[in-house]
Amino acid sequence: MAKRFWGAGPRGRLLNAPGIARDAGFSATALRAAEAWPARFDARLSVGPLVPADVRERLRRKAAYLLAPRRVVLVEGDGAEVSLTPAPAGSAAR
Amino acid sequence: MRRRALLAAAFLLLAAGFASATLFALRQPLSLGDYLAIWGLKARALHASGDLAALFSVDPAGEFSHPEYPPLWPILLASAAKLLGRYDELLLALLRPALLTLAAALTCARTRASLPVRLLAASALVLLPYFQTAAYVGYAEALLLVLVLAALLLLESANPTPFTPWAAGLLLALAALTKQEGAVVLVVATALLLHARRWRDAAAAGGLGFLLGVVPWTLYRSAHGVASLADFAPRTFELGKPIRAVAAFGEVALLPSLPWLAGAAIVLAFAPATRRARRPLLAGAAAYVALLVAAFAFARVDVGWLVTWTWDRLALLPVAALLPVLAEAAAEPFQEAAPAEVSGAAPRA
Repeated sequence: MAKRFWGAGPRGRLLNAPGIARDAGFSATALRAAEAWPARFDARLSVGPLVPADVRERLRRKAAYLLAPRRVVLVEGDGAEVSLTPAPAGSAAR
Repeated sequence: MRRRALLAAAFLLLAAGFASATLFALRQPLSLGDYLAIWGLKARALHASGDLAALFSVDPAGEFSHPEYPPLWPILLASAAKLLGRYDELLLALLRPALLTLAAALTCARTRASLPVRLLAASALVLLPYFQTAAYVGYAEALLLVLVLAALLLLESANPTPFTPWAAGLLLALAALTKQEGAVVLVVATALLLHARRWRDAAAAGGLGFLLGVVPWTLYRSAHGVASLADFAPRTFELGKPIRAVAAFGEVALLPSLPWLAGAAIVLAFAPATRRARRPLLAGAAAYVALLVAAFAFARVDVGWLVTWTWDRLALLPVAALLPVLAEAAAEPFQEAAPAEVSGAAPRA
């Protein structure tokens, strides 16, 4: 287990860290976006009304952490939607 | 023989506490609570952008990252990550045992007693609940503690040099740049120096601390339109809030704290010399706690909620600062009296 832990590398370890692992799929998507999107882009986090408020807040904080220094702006999504999309800096409406 | 046994016990206690605290810190990468929402978020933003203003922009509405918090801990995290070549949450967790080692060494140095007692004081520090949990790894209090303990070591020095108050002022400035409580320590330390008529020391330590620790960040923050304290505001002043804060503390913490508080009171009761020698520190700790409690009068959010979530972190600084006093007090009844005290003879010139 220790070998797997140390062999996982920073990315794997982060995705398995207690504060991140709870939403591992979302966190992996956010990390991929952080690597792929230009730093000058903000992020738009769409969360639907069916997602509980505490989960929405948790996802927002995780997205902000993983996508830093980009600004993560919450927008109302549909149903149980949870998605991240890039947006030119300053254009993402709340 | 008894001294050796005590030394061995103190050393074992210190080693066990340090090993346990280090294991808590390093068994998982930084990712919890305020680290994710505040300190780590800002550090990652700073590391990725190299721009101090990123501390404000990363949480556009300032709803959870407390943009007003001082920047030193995120700067230290980001700088360490730069040195490492990448932002690695596990390697950065090594800062916790490093800071804990410094805090333990400072506690040992501040304790005016024999080596076993000094080691016991250091053991008590590493065994504090704050360090024996993974929850607060990555939080700013460990850095704040080291800076404040270092400043106290200098201010308590029996042989100060002309540079001592300036160095203490610099440390207090760094403390104020780490957390707002550092500014409270600065105010209390300056007031105590003034009360002791150490005018030059007060001017040097207080002035430097204020000019370097409070003014620059206040100006920078104001220039970016960030308010001073998100959770506190003058217009929300209410006299009953500190009382509610004390009541909330009583509800969440009094029962588990009671044996420790009683133990501390008994130990101090039987140590008049320590009480006399350490009066300024005891007064300073009391003033610090009183100021924090009074600050709750300006709380914007529910006081009970605020106390429930912060009391253990707020208590860390005064408790850690007083550990040397408690160790000295515990040792006092067992110290052999000096010959002059026994015989009543005048000490030799």
